[in-house]
Amino acid sequence: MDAIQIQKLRPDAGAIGRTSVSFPSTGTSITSQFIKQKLDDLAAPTPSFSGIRIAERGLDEELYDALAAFKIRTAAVSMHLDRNWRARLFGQLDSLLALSDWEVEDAPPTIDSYSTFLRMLTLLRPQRRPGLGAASHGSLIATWTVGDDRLTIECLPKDIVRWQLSATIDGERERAAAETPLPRLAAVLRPYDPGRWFQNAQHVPAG
Amino acid sequence: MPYDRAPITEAVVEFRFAATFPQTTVEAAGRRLRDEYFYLDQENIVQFKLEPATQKAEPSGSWLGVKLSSLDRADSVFFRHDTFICSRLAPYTGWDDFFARTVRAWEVWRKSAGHTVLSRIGVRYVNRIDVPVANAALVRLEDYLNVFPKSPEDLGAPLSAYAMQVIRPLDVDDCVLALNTATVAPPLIGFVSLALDLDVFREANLPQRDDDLWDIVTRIRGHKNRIFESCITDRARALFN
Repeated sequence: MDAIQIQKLRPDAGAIGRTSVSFPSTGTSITSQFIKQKLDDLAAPTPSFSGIRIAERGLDEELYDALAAFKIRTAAVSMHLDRNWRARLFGQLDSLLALSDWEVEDAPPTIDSYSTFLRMLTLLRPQRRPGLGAASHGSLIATWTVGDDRLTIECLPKDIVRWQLSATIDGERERAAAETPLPRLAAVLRPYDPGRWFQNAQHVPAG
Repeated sequence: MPYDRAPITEAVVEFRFAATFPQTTVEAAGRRLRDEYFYLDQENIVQFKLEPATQKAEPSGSWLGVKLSSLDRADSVFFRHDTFICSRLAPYTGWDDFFARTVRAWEVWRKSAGHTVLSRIGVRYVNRIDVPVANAALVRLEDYLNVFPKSPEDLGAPLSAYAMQVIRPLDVDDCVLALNTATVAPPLIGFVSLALDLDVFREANLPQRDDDLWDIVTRIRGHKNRIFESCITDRARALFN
């Protein structure tokens, strides 16, 4: 039997969707160099997934590059998203990263933060899309608000989320906040009935 | 076979040229197609040269070509000195759309560059099979793929990752298959992801006329589909519907 052992790792954003190659100890023979070249080729992204701007960038270029990177990263999971849902998400990203609305001193959200955001969406599969915002240090913030009940999740690199909520439960007002590894997010939100934020919307569910 | 959730992460038609074209020709092709795509980006290769005296890395760049992309960045056309590429990222919308866009972009290239002698024609589909693992400790490759690496049982614990390439002449239409399969870092939490990357290409007896070109591209796509279905199991198919 040839089987893959399940790895419980939190991959870097840059590694997601890329071939997992382990480069062997360095050799100097022609054969070892040939194998290294083959592994380089296997691990290299296609032109659609490659390309970063090296030179110093202005804010407009940073926002442009961030928007492109986010859309291309979304393509990696697009087969798992409803198409209308995805199109509306892209509309939100277009608005969020518009130069005219951006605070000059703020850093655009990073691809590491967006990667966590995307993995959160495909894990929780909320019917309602969140409102999107950005923290000044480059994190993407997702917000769900229903009446007075509010859930805010800041997406940090490598599948870590920092969340806070306020909700009325059995007539009492409750507030909670924590930093949680993404795989446990659904479990830690469960006592607060997160369906109040994620369901009952007119939006089309993720596929 | 069309699937509800096709595992295609990227579809590519690539033509490599027998000779390079000047930058002016490549840029002209980009301008001609500009109105049909939302973005037009320049492509550059950047290399770093380390200066031992200063310990500083000095970047130097060379122009590669232009990339045109749709608003959602899923559709792209690359015009380069030596290559034409038409690409579609997920979600895949079907061969008819993709083929029509490829034909249109090639027409634009031909108007700018004229007759173009090719050295290689390739149709490449990069698939990724996302296998939910729930509480499983292992995923058996043979449950999903009919092509995978075999290794002796007594080596130790099961694989944690693999990458494998198979090059195989197809004995039809002068085509060759380059098959890459590998584990990839899964984009979804709670899944194992297996890449199945099929590139069917032809380097001999290349067509000179566009009619013949599209005929062979269509035939190559058919070979690719047949190979894909041969390489996956019913259990994998069930994941796509």
